[in-house]
Amino acid sequence: MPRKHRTVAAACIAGVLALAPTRAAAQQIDPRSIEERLAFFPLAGVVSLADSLTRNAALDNLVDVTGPQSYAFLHYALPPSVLVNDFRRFLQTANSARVDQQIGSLAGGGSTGAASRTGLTALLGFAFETGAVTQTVDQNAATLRANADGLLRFLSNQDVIPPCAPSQPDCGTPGWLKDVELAASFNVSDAGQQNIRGTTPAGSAAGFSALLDNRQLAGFSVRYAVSNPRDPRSPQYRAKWVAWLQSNRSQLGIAGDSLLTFVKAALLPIQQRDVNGQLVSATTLPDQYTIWSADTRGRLAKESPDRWALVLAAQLDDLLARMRRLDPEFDTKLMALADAYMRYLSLQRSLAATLVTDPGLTVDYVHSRPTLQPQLDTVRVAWAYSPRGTPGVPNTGTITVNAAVDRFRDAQPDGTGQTSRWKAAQAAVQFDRPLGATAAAAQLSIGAYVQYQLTPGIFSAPESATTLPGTSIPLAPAGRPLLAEKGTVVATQALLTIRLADSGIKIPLGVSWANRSEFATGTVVRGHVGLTFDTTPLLLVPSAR
Amino acid sequence: MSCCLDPDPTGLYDARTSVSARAKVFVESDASPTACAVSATMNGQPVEVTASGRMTLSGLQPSTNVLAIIVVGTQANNDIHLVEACPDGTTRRVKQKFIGAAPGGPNPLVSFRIHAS
Repeated sequence: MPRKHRTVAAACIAGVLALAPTRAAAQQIDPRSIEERLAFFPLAGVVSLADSLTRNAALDNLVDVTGPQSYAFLHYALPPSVLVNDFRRFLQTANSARVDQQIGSLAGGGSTGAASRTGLTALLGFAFETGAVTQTVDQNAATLRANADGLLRFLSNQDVIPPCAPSQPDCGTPGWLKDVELAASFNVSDAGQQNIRGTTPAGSAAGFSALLDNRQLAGFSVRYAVSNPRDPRSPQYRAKWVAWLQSNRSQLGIAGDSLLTFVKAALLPIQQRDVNGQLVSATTLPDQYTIWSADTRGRLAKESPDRWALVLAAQLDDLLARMRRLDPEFDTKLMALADAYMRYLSLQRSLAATLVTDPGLTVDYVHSRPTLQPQLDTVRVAWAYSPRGTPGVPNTGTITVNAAVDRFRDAQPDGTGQTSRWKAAQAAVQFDRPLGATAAAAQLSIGAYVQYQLTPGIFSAPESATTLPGTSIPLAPAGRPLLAEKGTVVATQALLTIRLADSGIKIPLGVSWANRSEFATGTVVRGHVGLTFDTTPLLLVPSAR
Repeated sequence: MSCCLDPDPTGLYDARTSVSARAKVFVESDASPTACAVSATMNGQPVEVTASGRMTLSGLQPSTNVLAIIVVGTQANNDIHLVEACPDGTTRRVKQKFIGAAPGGPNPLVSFRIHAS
C-alpha cells in the first residue's frame, strides 16, 4: 500500500476507534478489587443486621440491581474510567455556576478588586491584572494561587476531586488542608514616571520624580476557609441540594423521563424475557431476572456474611453474561445509562447550586512589599452570603463583606514625632452575580472600599529620583521616609467578567473611582483589565487527574 | 371495593395482581416526608404522575410488569414504600425498599416488579 494511503487508512481506523465507546471498552479487564467494584452496594449495612427478618428484607434490597441498587450495578459492571469521567461532568455543572471564587490578588490598597471573595481554588489559579484601585504607584500584577490539599493530591498522583462511593468515607472527605490556600503576587511591569510629594518627619515639604521599573515579589498570602460550604467537596454542600429538590419537580420530571428511557433500554429486557428468550407476557414463564434474583438471595442466605462479597460478585458476573446474551448491544446501552444518570444528577446539582445560600467565611494573612513603601502585614476577614430569593426562582447573587487591618512590619514615623506600626483599617463590600442564567457567560461585580488611615502613608525616594519638574519643592533624600497626607480613601468599582465556559478562564473588565490614592489627594479614575485562570474545570474534564 | 395489589408471599415479586387491575399508587417514606415520585414508566411506557406524585397503573401484561419510578426528596438508605390508594379511601403499603446510593447522594431510581395473572 502506498505510504499516503497507509497514512489515510491509519487515520480512519484511529478516528473510528476514537469515536466508538464500545463493548470492548465496557468489557475490558477491570483493575479494581471486588470490594472496590461492590463499593456502592450496602453490604456492610446488611452484615451488621442481627435480626434475621430484617436481614432477609435487606438482602432482598441488596440484590435489587434493576431498582435501588441500579447505580451500584453500573459501578460494578462498567470500567472505572467511564464512571470517573461521568462524575467529573456532573461536578462541572456545579463549578461553572460559582461566582464566589477569588483567583486574583487579595483585596486591599494594592489590589485590583474592591473586596476579596471567599471561594478557594481546588488546585491552582493564575491571574494577571492591571489597575490597582487605590495605589498611587500602579503596576501590573501576576498572582499564583494554590490549594494545599489539591496540590498535595496532585503531586502524589491522586484525584484532586475524587469520585467516592458511600462505603469509602475517607475518600470523600479531604482534610483541613483543602481549606488552606497559598498565593504569591509579583509586579510584572513598569509603573512609569511617578511624581510624588510629601513631608519629612520634621514637617518640611519634599518630593521627587522617578522612573519606577521594579519587578519584584509584591507579596504573599495564606488564606484559611473557616466555613466553606460552597466548596463542591464539602459534605454540607452535598446535603443542601437534597432539601431543595422539592421546588424543582417539573424540571426533574422531564429529566427523570429521559433517565427512564435509558433504564428501559438497558435493564428492562432481562425482566421481560424467559430462559428461552421469549417474552414472558406471551409464555407466562418467570423472567430471567426473577430467577436470578431468587437464586442470588438463596445463595447469600446460605453463606456466611464474610463470603457475601464473593458470592454477590459471582452472581453479578452471571447476570451480566445473561444480559449480554440477551442483547448484543447491552454494554453500549449500559454506558449510555451511566451517562444518563450523570445528566440527571448534574441537573439536580445545577438547580441546587443556584440556591446555596450558606455563608462562607475566610481569614487571610497577606504580607505585602509595595513599591517605595515599608513592608506591610494585613489580616482580613471575608464573609460571603447569598440573600434568599423567591421560592423556586434562582438567586445567583453573592454579597461579600471584608474587614481588615494593615500593620507595618517595622515601626514608622507617624507625623507627631512618635512611631507606630499601625497603618490603616479597611472595609469593603461587593456584589457578584451572573448576568442571566446561572452559567451565563458574563458576571457583574459592583464593589465599594474604604480605608481609614490611622497614620500617614510612608514612602521613600529611590536612588534615581530627581526634583519634581516645574516646582521648587526640595528633592527628598533617597531612602529616607516621607509622609503622605493622611486621609480616608473611598473607592467604588464596577467589573464585568467574561467567563469562558468550562475552560477556567475569566476576563474581568471594569472601572473604578477613588476620592484619592494612598499618597496623593485628588480623584483617581482607573480602568481595569485582567485574565484569570482556575484549573478546577480542567480537573473535571473526562480523563483528567 | 378492595385494594388491587397484594404483597407476594413467595417473595419472587414485589406485588401480585390481576391483568385487569387498575390501581392508584404512590410512594412514601418514613425517613423522608418529602419523598415524591416525579416520573415513572410501566414496562417502559410512560405513566402519568400527578402533582401529588400519584400514578394510575392499568393495562398490565401477564407475568412480570416493571414499574420504574424516579423519586426525589430522599437520601440514600431511606425507606421507600409502594403504597396503593384503594378505592374505599384507605391506603395500603404493598412493598418496602431502601433508596440506593449514587455519586453525591441518593439513586433516584426505584422499581417495583408486579406479577399479573
